[in-house]
Formats: sequence, structure tokens, C-alpha cells
Amino acid sequence: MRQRLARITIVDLVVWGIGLAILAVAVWGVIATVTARAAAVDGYAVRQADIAQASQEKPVRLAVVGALKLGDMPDVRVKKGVAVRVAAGARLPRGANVVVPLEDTDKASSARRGSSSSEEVLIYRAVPRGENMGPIYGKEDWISFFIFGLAQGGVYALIALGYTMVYGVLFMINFTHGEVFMSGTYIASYVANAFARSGFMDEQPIIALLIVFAVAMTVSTCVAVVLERVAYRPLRKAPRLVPLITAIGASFFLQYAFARLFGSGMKRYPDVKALSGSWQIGELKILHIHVIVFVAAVLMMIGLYWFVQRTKTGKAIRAVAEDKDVAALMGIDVDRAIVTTFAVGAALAGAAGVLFALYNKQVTHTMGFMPGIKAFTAAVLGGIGNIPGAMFGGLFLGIFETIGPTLFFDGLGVPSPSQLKDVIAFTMLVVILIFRPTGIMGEVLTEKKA
Amino acid sequence: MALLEIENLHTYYGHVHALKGISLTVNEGEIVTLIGANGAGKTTTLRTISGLLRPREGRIVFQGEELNNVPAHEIVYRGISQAPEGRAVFTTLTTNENLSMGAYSLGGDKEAIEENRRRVFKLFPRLEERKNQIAGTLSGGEQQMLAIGRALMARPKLLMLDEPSLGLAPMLVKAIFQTIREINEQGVTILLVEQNARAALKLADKGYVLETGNIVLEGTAEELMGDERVRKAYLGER
Ligand SMILES: Nc1ncnc2c1ncn2[C@@H]1O[C@H](COP(=O)(O)OP(=O)(O)OP(=O)(O)O)[C@@H](O)[C@H]1O
Ligand SMILES: [Mg+2]
Repeated sequence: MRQRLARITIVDLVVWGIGLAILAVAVWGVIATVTARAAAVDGYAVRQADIAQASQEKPVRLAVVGALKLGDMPDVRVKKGVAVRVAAGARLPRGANVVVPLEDTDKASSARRGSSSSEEVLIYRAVPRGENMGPIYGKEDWISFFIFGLAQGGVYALIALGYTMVYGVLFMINFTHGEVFMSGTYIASYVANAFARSGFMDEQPIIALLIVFAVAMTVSTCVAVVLERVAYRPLRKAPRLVPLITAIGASFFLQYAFARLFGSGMKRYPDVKALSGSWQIGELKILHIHVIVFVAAVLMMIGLYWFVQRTKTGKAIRAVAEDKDVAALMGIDVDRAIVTTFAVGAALAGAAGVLFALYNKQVTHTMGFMPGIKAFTAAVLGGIGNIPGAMFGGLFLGIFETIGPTLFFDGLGVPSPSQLKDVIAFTMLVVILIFRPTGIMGEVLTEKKA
Repeated sequence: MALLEIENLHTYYGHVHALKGISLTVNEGEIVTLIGANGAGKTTTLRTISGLLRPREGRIVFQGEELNNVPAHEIVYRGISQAPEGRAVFTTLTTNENLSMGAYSLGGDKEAIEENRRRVFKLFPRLEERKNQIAGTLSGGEQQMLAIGRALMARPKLLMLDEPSLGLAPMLVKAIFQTIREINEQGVTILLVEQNARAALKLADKGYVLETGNIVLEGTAEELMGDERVRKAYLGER
């Protein structure tokens, strides 16, 4: 025990300190969000003690010290004898423990000496404590975050599979994978737009979309296969840093090539009418597209799992991942298995790209960067090299990223917390790399590094 | 007729000259053993035959065809299988999947594959009991059986075994060597690499002694067992 203690260094302490600080902020944020309340009706936020004696005959007079609209961050505090005007849905200021509906109040401008502009309100009813206050985010909000997260996560998972499979066979992070994802989607967007213009997309949405998917997957696959042949295979025996740098170079090459060839502006991805409806279940609104994206992603993951587990080629890939020399002894063409791995990963990325574009409605030559690096995070989260890990990691990251910002930051008073989703994702990456570099499900394929 | 003929083979690891002109002959139906101390170049010899390493000089001729420039993954199609050193089974695959990998070169010939699987299970009943177990969780001895069984799945003419006795209890070594004899009696020619010279020479028809990349002695098993240098250096006698 004493020996173990002795081995803890300053660095460990700092690292654990940072970890605990992040955890503390997260917990504090969650508590603040869950306990934060919003006004259910238009009215005045007050302290119940102040209005306990109010009645039609003897209204209570309070000074109005501010007004809050929907989405405002409260900058005032409700103290004794004051009220804050709040709109329905507005976040309540601290100190308030009841909202008096507008109809039980009356404006009363007083002509007090000195403060000419001061506003006052008359309260005509002793509204009970806690009335007309509700959680800021209802159950429906969280469910719709979750469903969007599933769609986003499905896309991440599909991309993450490409990272993890290539890592499995080559122990290399293919940082061009984001651009592989972009290439297919980008080219397919021309097909999709042409179909939309000609009306084919609306007449035969299924056939049209299948063609769009096929184009995206084919282009992505071709790009990846060429990359493997030109950029990676000659470097197979080089130190590991070399192909990594090449990958980053190739990634820029593709981005700029697309920008120069097709323009660097944003391109619209057409609306597919067949996919654009929604279901309304009570308060809850579920967009068809989110469900479709998620289901499509899951189906492709099942397909991939079947391919890797059951087919001869899939088994050959697993054998190559474990030991290239022994795989060759079995008669497996290692180079071909590696190209196949790139191709399969790229096809999934191309499909993911179309799904991504279907709900983002636009493509650019840089669109691969963020999803690419997010999917890499997902792969690391699940344990790089581990196929079920990538699937799990992608879904988890998607959900974490859509729910997390609101859950952790909303209560802390951060304006538009959803802009912090990238911060959350990368904080998670750093935390995993520090505390559990093998990922949550562990790295399966490390035993025999080629 | 010589099944495998190696002439003046030189193999390098970068600048390390690991095989310095080896020649050996394996005739059809024989058990030939290659013995030598650690680092003598035994594994290197097998890896060169299998195409995992390229010789810089010399010739490897199998059934009259030169193998020097045949890619590693095509060697098994020619009829040569190897059970590599250190029971290199696929640890994340099951026993059955490992065996299927061994039959990769048979393509889609399901009948032949199942027939070979039955043969392997007959030789190693333990493997059948554990056919759905992940190979990484098999015992060392079971993994060695699996490595040999997997090599047999391709129905090789020549089976190369790299130290099958490594790390096994004496009882098991005996059993495995008995099985190797059985395999040979079924018509498979065997090139056996061993440090356990006594057991290997008892089994073999012919032997070669390798020292730092050179063959220093060759002869029938009896000749080698009778040789004073072999007795001293490899059989632990004074
Ligand atoms: N990958 C490598 N890189 C450089 N040198 C190597 C490599 N592999 C083997 N060698 C060297 O080649 C020589 C022969 O090695 P080899 O593995 O063939 O020996 P061996 O006879 O199989 O020994 P052992 O009985 O210990 O398995 C040794 O000196 C070894 O250090
Ligand atoms: Mg060896």
C-alpha cells in the first residue's frame, strides 16, 4: 500500500485534479439544469412570502425590477418586496418561488419622489408557493434530444467503423477518412440535386435515394482504395508516424482539390419530401428523417457485423488484423484483405455521408473534418480496433453530444449551450485518453501487433 | 525424388546475415528434422521457404518448381503448410474458425473442408471438445495441437513444424510426436524444426544440424545420434 502511494506523482495529482474538476462542473451543471425552473404562464416572478396576504380587496404592491423573455438569462435576483416580469417559458430568476399570472395583477405606476420611471405591480391573489413554475426542459425535450442523438450517433458509428477497422489491420489512424466521407457525399450531391430538379426524387424516392447511396459509396470506396495504394501501401514498413503525416497531407489534398474543382461554397442538398414528415405524439414531435437515419445506420452496422463475423473475407480480415504473417501462411492475400478493409470502411463512410447530408441539407469540401474527428473520438471511446466498440462509441457520442450541452451547461447560465457540443466531445476524448486510453470496451486486437 | 530441395540459401534481416548458404533435401514421405540452438536460423529457414522472407541468394525448389518469387500467400496452394513457432493461433477466433482459416486455400470446397476437419479431430480429439472455444483461452498444449491441426486443414504435401514441443510437458511432447508420426504415416512429408534433439531424432529419418546460419552436420537420424558432437551439444551427454 505504501509503495503504491509512493508511486503517485505530481503529474498524477494534477491529472486527477483536472478529472475531478471536470466531474464536479458536470455534476453541478446537471443539478443546476434539473432544478432550474421556467415560468409556465406570463406573469410576475415573486417570493411567496411577499404575497401571502394579497387579496382582491387588499392587493400587495411590489416594485418591478426587470423583465425576462423566453431565452433570457436572468441577471436579477428576486429579493424581498420586488417582482420580475416574466414571459411564459422564460427562465426564472433566483429567489422567486412562485409566478403570479398576469390576470391576477395590475400595473401600477406610482409617482414616487426621485425615481420617476420606477414601475410597480399590484398582486390580487395569494398564489400558492411553486405555482406556475415548471422545469425548463420537459420530458419531450429530452426525448427529442435523444432521438436526434441516435441519428447523429448512427452516422458517427458508421464513420468510426472505418477508423477502427483500418486500425485493426494496420495499426494506423487513417486521418483521411473524414475526406473519404466527404468525397462520396459531395459527388452524390450532384446526383441528388439533379434528381430533385427533374422530379425523379419525388416520383421514385426509394430508387433515387438508392442510386444516390450507391454513387456516394462507390466514390468513397474508390478514393480510399486509391489512397491505400498510393499513399499507404508504400509506407507499410515505415515508422508509424510517417503514414500518419501522409494521411494528414492527403486529407488537405482532397479538401483543396474539391474546393478548386467544385468551388468552396456551400452546396445545398435537396429536401427529400418522402422523408420530411414528422410524427406528433402529444407534446413530442419526432422527425421522420432522424428515425430513418438511425434505422439505416443500424441496418448497415448489422450488415457489417455479419460480413466480418460470418463471411470468408470477413474472417480473413480478422486473421490479418491479428497476425499478417500467419494469415499469409493460410493463403490469405494480406494486401487484398487490407484493401478490402479500406473499401468496406469507405463504403460505410459514403453511406454515412448521405445520411448526414439528408438531415443537414448541405455539403461543403470541409464537411468531413468535424464528423471525421468526432467519429475518431467515438472509435477511441469504444476502444480503437474494436468493431462493436466503434458502434457503441458512435451512438454514445451522438447522444452525449446532443443531450450533454443542455444537461451540463444550461443550468450554469451558459448562453446557447448547444454550441458547446464540440467542446464536450473533445473534452471527453481527452478524458478518455488520459484515464482509459484503451477505450471503454478495451482494445481487442493488440495482442499481436504486426 | 526430392520433394523439397534447397540450394545455397542466404537470407538477411537488414544487415544481419541469418542464413549463410544452406542446402537441404526433403524426400517424399520422410520426416526430416532441423535441429540447432537458439538463434541458429531454424525459424528463418522455415519463414524463407514459406515466402515470408525473401532469400538474397539460392534456390528453393518444391516438386520441381522454384518458389523463390512466389508470394507467401500462394505457397500453401503449392502444398506446403507451416505450424509457426510459438503456437501462433488466431487468439480471437474460435477453434473451429482457426481450422477454417487453415482451409482457406481450399476455397468453397465445403466437403473437403469438413472431411479435413474430421481428420484433424480424429488426430486431436481434444480440439473437438473445444471447437467453439476462443483459441486464446486454450491451454498451451491445446494451442499447439490447434496450430498443427490448422496446418493440416490445407491437406499439405509438406508439413513444416516449428518447435512443436516448445513449453510442453514431457508427456504431451510424447503424445504430439506420436501424432506427428501418425500424420506422416498418412502420407504427409514432414520438416520438423526442434531444439529437443533427442525426441526429434528418435522420430526422424534424416537430420540437419544448424549453427549460426550454417549446416554443420547432416545424416540419417542414427548417424546423428551416434555422432559425438551431437551427443555433447544437443543430447546433453558428456
Ligand atoms: N526480425 C528479425 N530482425 C533481425 N534479426 C532477426 C530477426 N529474426 C531473427 N533474427 C536473427 O536471425 C537469427 C536466426 O533467428 P531464428 O529465429 O531463425 O533462430 P531459431 O533457430 O529459430 O532460434 P530459436 O530456437 O530460438 O527459435 C538470430 O540471430 C536472430 O537474432
Ligand atoms: Mg525459432
